[in-house]
Amino acid sequence: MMKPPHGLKTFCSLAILFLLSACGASPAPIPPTTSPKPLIPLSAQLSWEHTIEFSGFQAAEKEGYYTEAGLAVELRPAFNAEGVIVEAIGAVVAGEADFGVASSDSLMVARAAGQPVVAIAAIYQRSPNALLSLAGTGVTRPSDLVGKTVTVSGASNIYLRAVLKNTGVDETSVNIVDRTDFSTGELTSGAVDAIDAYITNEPSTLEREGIAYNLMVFADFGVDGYANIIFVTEDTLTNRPELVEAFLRATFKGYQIAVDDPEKAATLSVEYNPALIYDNELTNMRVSVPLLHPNGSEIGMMTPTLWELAYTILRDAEIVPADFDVTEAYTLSFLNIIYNR
Amino acid sequence: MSQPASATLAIARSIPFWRRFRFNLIIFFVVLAVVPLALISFINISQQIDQAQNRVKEQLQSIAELKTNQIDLWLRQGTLALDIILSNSRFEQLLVTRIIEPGILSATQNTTLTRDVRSFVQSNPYFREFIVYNLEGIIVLASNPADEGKFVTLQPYFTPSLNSREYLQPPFYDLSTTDLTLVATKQIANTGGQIVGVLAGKINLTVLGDIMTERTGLSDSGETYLVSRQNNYLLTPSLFANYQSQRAYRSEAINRALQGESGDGIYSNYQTPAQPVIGVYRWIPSLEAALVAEVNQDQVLTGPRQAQLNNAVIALAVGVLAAVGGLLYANRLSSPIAKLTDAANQFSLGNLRQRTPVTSGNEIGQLAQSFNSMATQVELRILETQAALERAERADYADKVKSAFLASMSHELRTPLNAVINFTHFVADGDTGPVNEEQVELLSEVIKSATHLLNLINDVLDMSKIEAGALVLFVEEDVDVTSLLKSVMSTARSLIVGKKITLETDIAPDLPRIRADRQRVLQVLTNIVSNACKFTAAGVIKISAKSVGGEVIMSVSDTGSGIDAEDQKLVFLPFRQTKAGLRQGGGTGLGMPIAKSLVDSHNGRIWLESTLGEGSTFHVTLPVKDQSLQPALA
Repeated sequence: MMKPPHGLKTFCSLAILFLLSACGASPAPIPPTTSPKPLIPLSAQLSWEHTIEFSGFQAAEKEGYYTEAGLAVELRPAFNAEGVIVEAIGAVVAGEADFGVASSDSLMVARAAGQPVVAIAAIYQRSPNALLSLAGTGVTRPSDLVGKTVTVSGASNIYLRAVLKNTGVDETSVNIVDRTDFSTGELTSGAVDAIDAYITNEPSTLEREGIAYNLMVFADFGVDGYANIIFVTEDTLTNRPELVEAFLRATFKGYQIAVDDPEKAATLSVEYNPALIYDNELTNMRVSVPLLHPNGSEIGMMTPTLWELAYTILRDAEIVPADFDVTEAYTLSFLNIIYNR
Repeated sequence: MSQPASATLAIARSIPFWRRFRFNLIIFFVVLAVVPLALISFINISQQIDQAQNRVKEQLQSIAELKTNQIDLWLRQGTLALDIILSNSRFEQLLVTRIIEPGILSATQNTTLTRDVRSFVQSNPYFREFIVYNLEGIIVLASNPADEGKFVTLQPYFTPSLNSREYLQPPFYDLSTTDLTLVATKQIANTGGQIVGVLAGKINLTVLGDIMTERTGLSDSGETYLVSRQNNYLLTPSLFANYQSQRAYRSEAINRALQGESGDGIYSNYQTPAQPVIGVYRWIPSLEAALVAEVNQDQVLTGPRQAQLNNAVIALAVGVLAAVGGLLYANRLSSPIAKLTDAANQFSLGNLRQRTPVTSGNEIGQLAQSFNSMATQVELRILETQAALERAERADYADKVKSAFLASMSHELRTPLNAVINFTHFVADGDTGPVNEEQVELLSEVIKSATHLLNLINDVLDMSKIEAGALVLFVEEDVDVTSLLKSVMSTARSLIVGKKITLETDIAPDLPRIRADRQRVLQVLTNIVSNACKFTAAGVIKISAKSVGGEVIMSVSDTGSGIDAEDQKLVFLPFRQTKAGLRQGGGTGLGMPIAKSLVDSHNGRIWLESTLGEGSTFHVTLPVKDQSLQPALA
């Protein structure tokens, strides 16, 4: 009886092994599931309704970065159920919210008034404040404002005066009116020559309406500041620094996603606020990128230089006293930890 | 017999296919053919792919080198352009005045400056805007008048532009335009060589885009592009992505290059879904950007893939051929084996004539041949055995019939014969009335013939008993040979009546008594003596006996006709009579064979010495005390 050669089996199995290994790819290891820990509830009081401005918060929530950090963050738009604006500093000081978003000016004013609030990070690292005029009106620079009517709101008033001062224009020669209509209607109707605006907001609306415009960015005239810083109370800073750090890390991650993919960020914002128009938000996001993540900086970063500048403008306008210590209004400690500075 | 045969068949039929020759050989052939082919093809194609990849990498390297040089050249153009602008001393003079003492310039001079600066932009598409700022960072002159009065203090190029004669600001975000901006600056000095301000040109990136999107020998799937360190956004358009769609572009190559590394690799590109590409990358410090040149891997692999396909087809064809070859070869091997197996099965089932065809001269042919010759041998043996058995059976049957016949004969024949003899005696003796001489003589003839017939019957009976091995000796311990001889002597005397024969005896006086069947020994001696009397017309018959070494030797010699050499051989064979015997007539031809058989059964010997015409001598020896002789049943 002939037996098949024993080597044949080995040869066959080797060949099969060889063929298998040629197309074989080891399966990716399954990441270990983390044991669920109870999430720590936190709230953040935003300074406006949901827009692309807060895309980082939105992305952090939607992408689960807060959850990953063990946080359950409630994002609160500035307008409550009755449509009344909730002032973030007041809410945070009252302990109704853990985090708040406000401008550096508001924060300095509140702090000068004795409120224990401290800025921990900036959303926009340059001021988006600008003056908006229609193209063809010849209003392109501060000197063109002489004899014109300008409506401005809040801190823009101070900024505009600072710009005029910086460019050597007598502020009394400009008719500066407090703004009551927050739409672009007064401008487009020709009722006023210029209105204050955020470069990240109104221009896109005009563009969409097909209206040509001129922008006078205050920062171009040496007037700068933080339009939206994230702040906490001194108590939170002292007693819950790890939560602050975790919150900031997750939020920054959210803003990084927004910068990486503006289209995704615009989609998210519209999800949060269906009244928004996607194209506008997308444009606004693109305009926001240089503010969110400017040259050589990191997301959320603040600088003593800009704080000093922002303070100087307020001081010169006599909004805050001369003995105000601006360095107490903010802390870089979290940014330094997060970015290994 | 049939049980193991069918079991063998069952085993033969139930071999699973994977153990069959055919399957194994096909697999063996296919593996033997395809695996080396696949291996060679694999190595070959790997090499081809390697070569193709290296070729492409080299090509991409040289393209990247070319692009880098083009970028350098293009950037130098900027500085050169600023130099040329400032080399116009009249313009520079006015510019310095505009910076230091703008108040002393006439309206015409200011207009000239503005016109000049605008014409630079128009005549030099390299720049999209020129600005001139003083040491405080305030723009004093701009091709776009709206920019005059603006502060550049917070712009990234401001401080470096004050610190070096000329400076190139890598792409950055200018708040008033959301596009990335590239700025070249050159310091402006007064006639005393003192720095008073800076001329800055915002560079038009379109040309850079043109440089990068020019294919320069790249295939359709190839492209070169620049990714800025600023948010990983594209600095120049990509052929496969919407440049306008600002978003981060990431890939292994981009990340490495943005970390300042240069190199090449095979990786997934920035696209969604990511495409496998071969690329080279390098860090361009002046632009703070990653330069990437890459082509889709599919493009590179087209050749090798085609080869791979070809090889696969060839391997398939070879595999099929090998399988067919294996099948044919297996058939060549297994069909004679199958036939052999069938033949063996048939043979074992009893078909002895079954043979298998010898179709080849190889080992299997040899095996078939061996099987055939074995079968022939086995068949022969079996046939022989069968014949022998049949013969034996037939003989046995005949023997039985003969014995039965003889047994009845002995009874049925001897009884009437005895009656014939006895009644003839009565008649011849005159018991039934007077009989004359002639009648007595005739009646004597009757008696003589009847007695002969009776003897004949007795002889035949004896012979048949002997042949059937049914002869039983009635062995006695002390048989007196001398008295036996005397009895024989008296018989001889009656037989030689009327013949001129002298009866002599030479019997040793000390003959021992022997262990034998008295009657049978007497029969032997009587037979011999009767023959001697019968074949001797005249002369001497001598009976002698002596004891030698545990044996008794008895001899009967005559001076009769003698037996020729031929006939001497026949004497002891049954139913064979010597020529003399035949001539003499009468007799059965059984006497001597019976005598020999009886002597043999006594473990004795019988032989004769004879010369034709001179006489014969018969010798009989018998052992004195042969214990091997079984005594008769008591």
